Amino acid sequence: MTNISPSGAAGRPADNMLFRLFQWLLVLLLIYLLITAVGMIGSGFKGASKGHATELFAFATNPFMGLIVGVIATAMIQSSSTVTSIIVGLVAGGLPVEMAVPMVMGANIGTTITNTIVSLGHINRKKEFRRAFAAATVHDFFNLLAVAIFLPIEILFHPLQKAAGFLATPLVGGENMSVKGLDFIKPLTKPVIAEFKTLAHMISEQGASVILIIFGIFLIFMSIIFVGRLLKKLMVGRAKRIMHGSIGRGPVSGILSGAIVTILVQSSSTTTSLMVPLAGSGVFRLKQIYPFTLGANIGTTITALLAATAISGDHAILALQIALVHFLYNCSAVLLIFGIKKLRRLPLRGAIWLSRLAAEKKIYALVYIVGVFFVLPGLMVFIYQLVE
Amino acid sequence: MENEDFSSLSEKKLKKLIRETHMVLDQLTQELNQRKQDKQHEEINHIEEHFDEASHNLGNLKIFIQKVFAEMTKDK
Repeated sequence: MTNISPSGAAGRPADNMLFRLFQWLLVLLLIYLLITAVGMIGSGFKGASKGHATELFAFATNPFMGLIVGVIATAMIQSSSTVTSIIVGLVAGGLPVEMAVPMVMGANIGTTITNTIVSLGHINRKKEFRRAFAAATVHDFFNLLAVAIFLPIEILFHPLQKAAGFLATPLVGGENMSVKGLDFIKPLTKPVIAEFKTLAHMISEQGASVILIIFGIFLIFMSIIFVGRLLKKLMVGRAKRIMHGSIGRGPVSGILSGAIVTILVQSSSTTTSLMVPLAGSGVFRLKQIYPFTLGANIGTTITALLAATAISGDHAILALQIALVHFLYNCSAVLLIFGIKKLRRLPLRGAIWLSRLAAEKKIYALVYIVGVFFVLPGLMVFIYQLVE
Repeated sequence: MENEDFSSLSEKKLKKLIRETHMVLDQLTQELNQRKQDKQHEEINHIEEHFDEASHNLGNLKIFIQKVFAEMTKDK
């Protein structure tokens, strides 16, 4: 059997191995760029806010505003990994963790727009559309329910923030156990960040910090896009094996495979979108898709954790803390909502109800997308400003 | 089967029939599940196509909006 290269052309095994090696090196380079970019944002934000990050983000002192920022930012760029990595960078630059928590929760909601848009591709066939739209919106309903439960609790008692802080301290090294001497990331990223700082200063002396943040955001965005594309090619075989293995094994296996596939391709949007056509064709049932998408929520938190490794110094604990908040939040949401039968059924019922409506009148689907991801957050911003 | 008269059958025979029917039902369910799972494995084998489908989502949005407007005009 001839080996087929990713480009589709038949090639010698040695050439293919070299090509794969080159692709893996590119993945490593892109992860390095991602980590460096997070460091850039941290450094730029520290410079731009001059220790007044709280004042700069004063609008997000209201947790609902933070939530909205997370929803809109993620819905616009369709990548929760990018947004959470940027948030990690901002926390490293001085943004209080308390303000960042609702943003991370918002990113969870915003990311669900991608698979919803993918489901619209089935619009021409009514039954198929109904199934595909339900598979996409079950993720939306779950994430909305998770925010409705966890955000008020977090505002009142900060359990996620406290638990993440508790876990982050020994991992990074608190006051009593400094690991500065063992920090190997900073020496690797520092020269590149310094080069970008010089470049930013050359462009504008006064706005150098802001330019550095923009460079950082751009680099995160590009590295996540390209690493996702490469990993899709490199990991498709392994993803297939994991998915094959989870068939007929129940919801826990579905959650685990969703998490692992998402870690492999570094994108929850990709994994959740992947399930939409599988549901649309009717081969996979909504009940099978549901746990898989929940696993994607957990798997996507790896990017922010990876991004947090970029930060060293005083804010390293805080950067890791917000990344861990993302992880703990998604794990807790799955445990609580999926663990309790009555709660577990709510997203399913919501998705089935909405998909039936949308299949009958397509305008409902449009109203839902525009309403949940843009109008409602916009309205909340407007009300907030009015109250202010 | 519905119209069959079982009144002449002994209890022992009835129990045997029930057992056999259960076995057939189990086999049928197993066969059905196996077919469903085979279809799912088959779909997963073509996952690359779904990856591609998932990455062209903005085109979907455009087509969808056109359809919504077409539906609205039709309703008027």
